[in-house]
Amino acid sequence: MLAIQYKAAQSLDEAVTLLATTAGARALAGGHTLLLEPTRSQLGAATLVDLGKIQGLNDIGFTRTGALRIGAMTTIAALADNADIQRDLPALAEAASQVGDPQVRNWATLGGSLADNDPESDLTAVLLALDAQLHLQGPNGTRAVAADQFITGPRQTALTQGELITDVRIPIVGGGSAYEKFKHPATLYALCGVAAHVSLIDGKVGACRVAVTGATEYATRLTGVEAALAGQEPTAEAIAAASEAASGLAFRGDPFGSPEYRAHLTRVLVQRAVTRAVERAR
Amino acid sequence: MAEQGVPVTLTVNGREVRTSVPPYLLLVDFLRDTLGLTGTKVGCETGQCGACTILVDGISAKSCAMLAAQADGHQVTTVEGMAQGSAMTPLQAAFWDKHAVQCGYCTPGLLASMTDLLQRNPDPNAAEIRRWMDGNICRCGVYQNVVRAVRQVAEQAPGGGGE
Repeated sequence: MLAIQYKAAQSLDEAVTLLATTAGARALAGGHTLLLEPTRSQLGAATLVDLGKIQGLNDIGFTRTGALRIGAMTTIAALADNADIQRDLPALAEAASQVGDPQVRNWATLGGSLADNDPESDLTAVLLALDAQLHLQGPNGTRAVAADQFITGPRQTALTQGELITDVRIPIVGGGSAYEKFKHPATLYALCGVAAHVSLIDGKVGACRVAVTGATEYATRLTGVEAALAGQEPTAEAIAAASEAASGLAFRGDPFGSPEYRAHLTRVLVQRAVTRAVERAR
Repeated sequence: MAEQGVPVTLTVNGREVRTSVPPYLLLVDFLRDTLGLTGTKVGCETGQCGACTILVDGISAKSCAMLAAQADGHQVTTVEGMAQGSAMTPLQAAFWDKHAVQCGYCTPGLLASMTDLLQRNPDPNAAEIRRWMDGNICRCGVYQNVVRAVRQVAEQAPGGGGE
């Protein structure tokens, strides 16, 4: 039997206070990591601070500067179904539609998924490629952290005790984006996932961001691939050559796939994701 | 340790339930052990098998991944709340017609999941139905007959099209 305690926060301020002042407190969003085995058995006597009753944390809308602002309690299904995301950030819609199964997507949240930072999460790679900013609120106030700085290691993030993700802001900068996934057929997690964002200048690659998840210890930018693509005409040959720049990473190995296999998947999915991002950028 | 109950008010199969629940109690255990609604099954407890799938505010949910306390203020529907007396829903009748049941353990979860699908898309094709079954594992292997049953509902619905 679990010894956990439960408190439903009525406001963001109350949640932050509870998390900062209660020993062993954990934020409860969609619950699809915290409440499932094996994590559930490890909760001990933690106090779960439920964020589900806080109003206004699942809005999606544009900021005055033209970024898309997505509330942290937005469900994965809502990301996949949102018309603005489908039109302006197709990599995010594609990744969201491939997370887990329908019931997971119905209840798991963007913020919960990012705070968990599972090494096989689909969304982390997308937020790296789309240059997302995560807005956080904690006992010392609010701050914004770029996705690159938010993800600090396997299941490790820049979040401090008592700090919550309130929303994610993604700049709408034109160009095209895409997400490619090779999923484990039973767990439905990404053995390898690659997100790409490309903008073109006079038919050549201008700004370009590519990130991988599932294949490495944690989601990471493929800066070698990005550098190899910059300034190039994005022909199939140039994209294939650039994908080789992913080979130098430290890839994960486990019973589901060797490091060599995941390296191969990464090169193939880089080509597919970049090719589709370029098509959308034209 | 003194147990601190959490007061909850929710609607289960159209009936209001006001009670106090232990903070650790999962929704599936509340439905089965507290309310006696044993139609909802416990399978894997890891969120993969879908035997515990129910509807919360009409949206399919795995009740092993939710605390009873979190259901406060929500409308819960289990397999016991689907039929009106002895009149099965069109989906239940189609499961009967197409024999989309073998041992029956996954059936309450599949009914909840497919009810959600048909609310979103009254005419899903076979590929869409199969994809929506990602969250339900059936060890007897009735998947093909579930596809046939859901297609029957789509085809018999007013304005329903064939494939």
